[in-house]
Amino acid sequence: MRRWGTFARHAVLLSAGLLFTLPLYIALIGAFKPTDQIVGSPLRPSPLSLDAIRKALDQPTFDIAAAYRTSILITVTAVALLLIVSSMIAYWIGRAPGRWPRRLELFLLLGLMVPPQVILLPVLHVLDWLGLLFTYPGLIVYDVGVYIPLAAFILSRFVAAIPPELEEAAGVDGAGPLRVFFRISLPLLRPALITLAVLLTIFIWNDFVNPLILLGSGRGETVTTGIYRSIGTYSTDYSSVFANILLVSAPMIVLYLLMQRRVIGAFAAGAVKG
Amino acid sequence: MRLTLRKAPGAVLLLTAPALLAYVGFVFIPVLLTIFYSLTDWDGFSPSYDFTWLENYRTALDDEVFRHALWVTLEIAASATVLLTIAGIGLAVLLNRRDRITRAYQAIFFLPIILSPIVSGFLFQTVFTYDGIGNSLLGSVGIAPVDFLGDAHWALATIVVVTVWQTAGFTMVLYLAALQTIPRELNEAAALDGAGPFRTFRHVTLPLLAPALTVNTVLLLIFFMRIYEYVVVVTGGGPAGQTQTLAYRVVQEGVNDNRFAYGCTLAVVLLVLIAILALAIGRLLSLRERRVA
Repeated sequence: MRRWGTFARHAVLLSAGLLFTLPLYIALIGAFKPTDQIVGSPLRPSPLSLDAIRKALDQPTFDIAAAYRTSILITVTAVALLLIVSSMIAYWIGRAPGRWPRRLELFLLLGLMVPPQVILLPVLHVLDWLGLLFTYPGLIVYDVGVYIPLAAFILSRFVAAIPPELEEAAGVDGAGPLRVFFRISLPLLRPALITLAVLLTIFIWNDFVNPLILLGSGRGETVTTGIYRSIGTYSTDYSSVFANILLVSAPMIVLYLLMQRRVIGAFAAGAVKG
Repeated sequence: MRLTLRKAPGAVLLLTAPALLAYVGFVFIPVLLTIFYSLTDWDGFSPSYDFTWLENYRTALDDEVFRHALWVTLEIAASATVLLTIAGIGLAVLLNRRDRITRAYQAIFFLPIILSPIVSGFLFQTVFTYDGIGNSLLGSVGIAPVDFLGDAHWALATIVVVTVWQTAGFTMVLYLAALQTIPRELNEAAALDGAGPFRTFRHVTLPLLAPALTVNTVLLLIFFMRIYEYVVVVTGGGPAGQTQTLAYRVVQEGVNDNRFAYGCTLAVVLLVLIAILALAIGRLLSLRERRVA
């Protein structure tokens, strides 16, 4: 009975695993095969060549190197800003006495319900009014506002877990609250900050609708809006599509391979937001 | 620290102001503006506009395209949530261990979520297009080609399939977290009493998963009410606009068709639906939870 159960478990897992890996496998080998070979024999990993990748790196409609630069600039700046401002507000939420911190947290949590499409139309006007419409700084500050609720929520749990005695000791020694925060609390939050940075990096790198609308067309493209605008012209050239897919996703796949447990943990932490 | 924070009101301002400004400026006020503009006839660029109050909402009631998009959104959200809940609980129960093979499986099922929805959308679009890989594979086992993206029902199913493929591993992680809070002794006691794995699952595991089920169902439903990227990339809303969702219509009306105020109106409907779902389903499932317990 038990042996049969083990067998059934592995049979289910193996077939589900193969089914889930199949699209990735097709994309991966597809990026190294000519298109006629992809449709003719999608599963055979031959003949392989770098032609499609080379072509994708040098296509007239999608400058991947430039898109990488844009995406890196936006992701790195937005994540850095978010880590700083969200840890500050999370610190206050997690530490300050009275009802206001809890009220502020609820006010922020409301923002988690709001899909980007609900606010994007007026945000165009807010950014226009600030003179930041169709600019990188505009998209970056918007990203900061949108991810504050999630970031502050995750971090405030970690703040609450730091024993307050450490900070009180420093306070007694005459250090002001900001000094205590930067010198004592922030270093203690490091593991949480790394987790959060991983999560935000994935979200912002993969983001599509916000850069699509807020950067507009022709004002620089991120990897996602770039692949979207270019693939329309290529859609029957499957090896090009797969090469583009691979190039656009490579940084996140590398991140996942390097920090698999942390990435999974980050999503789990982010999910508690319900 | 409580002490030092209270002593320095300036510090409070410094700690909270940057985050609060960004949030209020780019989330809270825009929500209010969306509601405000939905009561006007503004096209988004004219110097002036008039208040038409509920006129846009009346238009929406008679708008076949909007009503269809609303239905499609609910259909996708509901079917994806049901399938993901089954897949997520199934995988979590099978993978609630700590050995290496189990961890490798977890990593494989989780992987798709780190891809951009745009990327997985293009991947599946390429596979399911008429003379693409999917039909080539079906052909090799003797099945006639299916027009996945040319038929409204198949196109919707394809969108749901991408959704499930990309999110199953994440749902699995949600339920793994819940399973790990269930003491192992309970399962062992049930086994000692002679209960097989299925009875143990039905009478021990499932009732204890009820609270997680509540939270995760709401989470998934809210998440898929905003479904957008897969539609844009996999079907482009087609065939003949049959797979357009609410979020897709918002962008279409507000940005591409220059019906700014009407786009805002549909956005308000989307927001209200999400709020209602969050409240109603949370209430409903927590009642059932109490009954099971």
